[in-house]
Amino acid sequence: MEQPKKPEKPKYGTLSNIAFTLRNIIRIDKMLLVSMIALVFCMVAQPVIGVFMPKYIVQFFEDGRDVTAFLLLVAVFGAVSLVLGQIRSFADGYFPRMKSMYRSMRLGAEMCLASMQVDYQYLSSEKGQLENRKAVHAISSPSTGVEDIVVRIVECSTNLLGAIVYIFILSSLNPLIILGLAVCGMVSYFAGNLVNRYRLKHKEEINKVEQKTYSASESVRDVLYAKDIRMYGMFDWLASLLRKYDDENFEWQKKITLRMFFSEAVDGLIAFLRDGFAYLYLISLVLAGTIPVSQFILYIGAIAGLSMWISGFAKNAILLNKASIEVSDFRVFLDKSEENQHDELPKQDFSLPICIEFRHVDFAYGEHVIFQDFSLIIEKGKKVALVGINGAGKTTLVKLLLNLTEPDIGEILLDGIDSRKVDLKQYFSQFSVAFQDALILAYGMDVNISMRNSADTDQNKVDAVIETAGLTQKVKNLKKGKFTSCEKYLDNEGTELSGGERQKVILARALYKSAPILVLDEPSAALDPIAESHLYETYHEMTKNKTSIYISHRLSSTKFCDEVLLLDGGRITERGTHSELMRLGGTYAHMFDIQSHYYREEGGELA
Amino acid sequence: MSEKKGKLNLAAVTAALKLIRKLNKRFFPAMLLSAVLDAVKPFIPIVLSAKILDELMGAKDIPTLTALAVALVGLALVFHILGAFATKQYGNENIRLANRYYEALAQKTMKLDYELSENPDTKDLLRMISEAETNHLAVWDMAEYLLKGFLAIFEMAIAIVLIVTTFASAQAVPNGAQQAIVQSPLAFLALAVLLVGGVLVYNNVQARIGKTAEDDVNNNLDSNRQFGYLFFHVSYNYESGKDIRLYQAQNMLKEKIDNYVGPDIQVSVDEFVKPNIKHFSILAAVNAVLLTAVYLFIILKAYVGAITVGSIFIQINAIMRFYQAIAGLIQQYSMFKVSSEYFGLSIRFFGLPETTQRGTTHIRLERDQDYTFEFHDVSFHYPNADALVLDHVNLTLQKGQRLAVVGMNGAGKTTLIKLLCRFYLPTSGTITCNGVDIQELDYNDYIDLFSVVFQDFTLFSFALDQNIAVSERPDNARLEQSMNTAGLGGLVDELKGDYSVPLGKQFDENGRDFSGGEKQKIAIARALYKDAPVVVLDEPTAALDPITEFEIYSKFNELVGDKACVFISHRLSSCRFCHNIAVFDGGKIVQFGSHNDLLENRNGKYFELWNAQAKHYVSEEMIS
Repeated sequence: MEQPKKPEKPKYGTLSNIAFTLRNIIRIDKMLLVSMIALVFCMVAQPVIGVFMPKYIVQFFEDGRDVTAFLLLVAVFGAVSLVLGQIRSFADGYFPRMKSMYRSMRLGAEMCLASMQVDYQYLSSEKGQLENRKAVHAISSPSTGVEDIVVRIVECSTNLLGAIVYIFILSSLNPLIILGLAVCGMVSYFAGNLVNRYRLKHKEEINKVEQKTYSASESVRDVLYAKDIRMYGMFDWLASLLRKYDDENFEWQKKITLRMFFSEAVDGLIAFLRDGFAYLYLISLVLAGTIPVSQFILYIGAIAGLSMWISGFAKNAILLNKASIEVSDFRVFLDKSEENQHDELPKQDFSLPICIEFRHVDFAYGEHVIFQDFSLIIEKGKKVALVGINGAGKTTLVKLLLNLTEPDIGEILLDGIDSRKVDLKQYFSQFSVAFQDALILAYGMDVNISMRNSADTDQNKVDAVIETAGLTQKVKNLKKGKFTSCEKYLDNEGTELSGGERQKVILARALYKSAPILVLDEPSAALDPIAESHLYETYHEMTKNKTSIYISHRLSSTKFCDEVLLLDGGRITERGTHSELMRLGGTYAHMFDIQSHYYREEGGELA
Repeated sequence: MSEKKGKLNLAAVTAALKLIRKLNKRFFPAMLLSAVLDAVKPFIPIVLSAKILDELMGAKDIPTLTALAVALVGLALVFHILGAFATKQYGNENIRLANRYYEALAQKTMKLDYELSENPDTKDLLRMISEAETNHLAVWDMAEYLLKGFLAIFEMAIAIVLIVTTFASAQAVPNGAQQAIVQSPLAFLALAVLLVGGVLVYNNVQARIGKTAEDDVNNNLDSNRQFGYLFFHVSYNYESGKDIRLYQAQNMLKEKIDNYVGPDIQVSVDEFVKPNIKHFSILAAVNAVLLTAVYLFIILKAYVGAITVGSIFIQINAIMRFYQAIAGLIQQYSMFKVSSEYFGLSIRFFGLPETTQRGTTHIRLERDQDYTFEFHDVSFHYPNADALVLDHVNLTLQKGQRLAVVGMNGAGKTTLIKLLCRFYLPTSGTITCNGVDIQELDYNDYIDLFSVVFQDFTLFSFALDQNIAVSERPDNARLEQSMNTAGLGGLVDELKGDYSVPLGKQFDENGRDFSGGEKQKIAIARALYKDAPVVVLDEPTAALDPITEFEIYSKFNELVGDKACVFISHRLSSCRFCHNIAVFDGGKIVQFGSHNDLLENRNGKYFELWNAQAKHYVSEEMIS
């Protein structure tokens, strides 16, 4: 196994993250900040009352005060307890839930938006995926990152404030005491930090096991896997793997809890020495007559309190650090999404139809080179078919064209204008794309087609494209027609779309947008022969005045295009009309031959 | 959630306790040890520091003081270390229990009747059960509440002992007016009444707090589904990102998120936060009043000399602990009740029917026989729909026979397969295997007869060889043969015997991303490895380029041999190497026969479908 890498320094430091958190809380929910302050105040004040009350009781007895003094003391105590209790109730009611809301709802929503706006190339890269996962981790539970840091801020402030108050109380005592307590706190901190360092050192391995366990149990529970799990009798295999990962996870947990135990034991020993010394020292002062018994009580209480605040601060500082690292991950990702927003690129005037050009493009995924000095011109208004074997680079070509990915070297030009010099939104609006694995949302079909809310959708246009895509019959059979949810996920009354129906919706979506460039990626893979044929026949109509690219393994589609481009090993090796390429007798002709093999009379059956 | 609100569900409690014992025997002892230590620990400093106080205000005897001080810190140390150890053990056993519980849930999910897996209600049930932990209503929380309830009683006992012994050792009190008031039974009665009143208020308010918590869980059901979808399914899944950007759907989704977030927060504030603040305030006020009364009473007792100054603090603490123990008991009971209700969900889930339980006779099957499957007048509609997806279908499938199933989208082809695989029961009619209703056959034996590649097949992010072999110990020779036949020969050469590379880079940088086409071949290899007598292929070449597709077709003999085979595809070219073709239209089989026979009927559906496709491949311009 490789050596665990030294963790890199997070981009944002602890103080910066605290400031970030407070700024956000003020922006999002001022009352949360009020409840935090109230909580800190009560968590310090309530124990202080608990330390002073015995002192005054004993003092009054020592001084031989009469009953009215006591009654007054109790009355003041009662009033203060009542007020503090009310403030605390507000804080205890408001803080826990609203801090969760702050994280999950508010920051969660901002995170969602960020995911949708961040540069796609970055998001789909390994680095982007990793940073995305880390940001998601920081925001996905109450005990991590963004929410936990709020709790730690409260705890650390309480500890700090409490320590100051108690130091003040103890100031009349020998300052060495305070020094001694600080030393105890330090030892406590180091003991506690050992646990943390152990965790950090093995973070990668622990993470990996956690991920495996999580992924395994998630897949098992996902209904998508249900068919295969049953048909292949996967129960034993998966149950065994689940058990294995669980046990691995548990072993790590045990190692961590063991170290936590040691750190607690050290804490206990320190407390023993500290409190033992404190008691003996203070008792001797009382016996010597230096301090009255009431002061003794106060000091004992204050020492215990101060120790608690110091060790509390130590523990919480460690946790604050951990949370801060996670908040930094979150901010890094948010920053990335902001990058695009401020690019003020000019809008361009495109003359329609649009001419597409790739000029000396180089592109590689890591070590894997896809394109090298790749050039291609698709004249305006042409309908081309792009074919090639799996892995030839067709999808990559499309992503480069769409500016979802940028070339390493070279340019992609629309109407002679460099894709990177155009406002991104405007650039995207030039394309209608039907991806094979496109997203179908769990909302109405009209929303899926327009990609806008129902209120912002041109329903007439929706009806028209439903017709063109061949969905009219399906829509008629649905309870709520085109407003029926396309998934059952959020709506029991939703419908399950078959593979072919999904493709039709995706096609309808591209048609609704009606952009100058139409890109279809395997639009008929799940369509039956009649629907497929219908698509070919309406293709000309669909692509009138547009430039279009049709990607498919079904070579029958090429006849409906002006030109066929064969992509092989990062180059266009053959280009021409279907007939020209058949006459050429090259790779394309060969592929067409074998695909049409069984359609020909003499294709014959396998014995 | 339950019908009988208010009454404790004893059956659920017993079931829960039994389950815990089954999943982790060591849980209860560990919990007991940790809780007992926690309960006893606070009383030590209460008693000993009070004694030190008394000594300091009284005899000031050095040996006694030293002994008391040493006892105090010494016992604190012992309890601290023991407590830390017990906490560690309890923490570990708790994690182990939770792991085993989630494992059991996962196992049950895998065994569930398929129909239930698709049902959103089952998914909701499973999600609620999984969320129990965040709401502190999991089955181990329930056990903790139960134990803590008992310990509260234990604490009450200790507190009473302290109170009584302190009063018993009290000195005689000189007479006087003030003394009379304080020492009179009325004073004691007044305090007792206040305490009882406090408990009653506490009980009432705690019940309301419990109800608020319960309502909150229910309120969150639907919103959590929305939340999960928008936040996890759509935004965090980068594959969705292409369409969202290209179609500029960000604003639409943002609106959906905002429309959901605002009201959700408002509901939380109105129905959870505000009621809680109100209830907590009442409890805090009650606490303050009681505390003040107790302080007053005890201080006056000491003032008139009935008890020592030191024992003031024993008394106050003991009485408050007593009161808190009662309050704690009420709270523990309330949470215990809610969590036992919640456990009812788990009971329901674990009681759901499993695939293997269908039917009554569970007849065993041998793999190496000849099998004939027959559909006898089978009709079917999905549970919540009325439309018939299969309409009086009759069909036979035998060994050595290759059947192509074709038809328009939604005509019922995949549903046919789902019924054959026993995912659903026919609405009417029967499916038989060698004359026996398939529902009566042993489920595992039956499933063993099939090698299926679904259109929406799935692969796991584990090792390649394990995915194909569906086992932790794959047979390499068999593995290589399957991979070669499935068109993965290149991969075999490349990996040179070590096929344990993980699928995808999700949790291992050493993993490898496979293309859509490669994944399809892996799914085919998996079907081949199983080597079952009946092969079902649903659009197995949809993601493959023409060359690879032809490779697979050419190897079809090797793939299928003389097994029974069902082949669904929109690429009708594959019909050429099937013996029979069943043409579906609107749930019915409208034509059945060989390719040549069917083509003769120029008005038939098959002819229409075939020509729609073939005409684009066969034309005058073609040169062979």
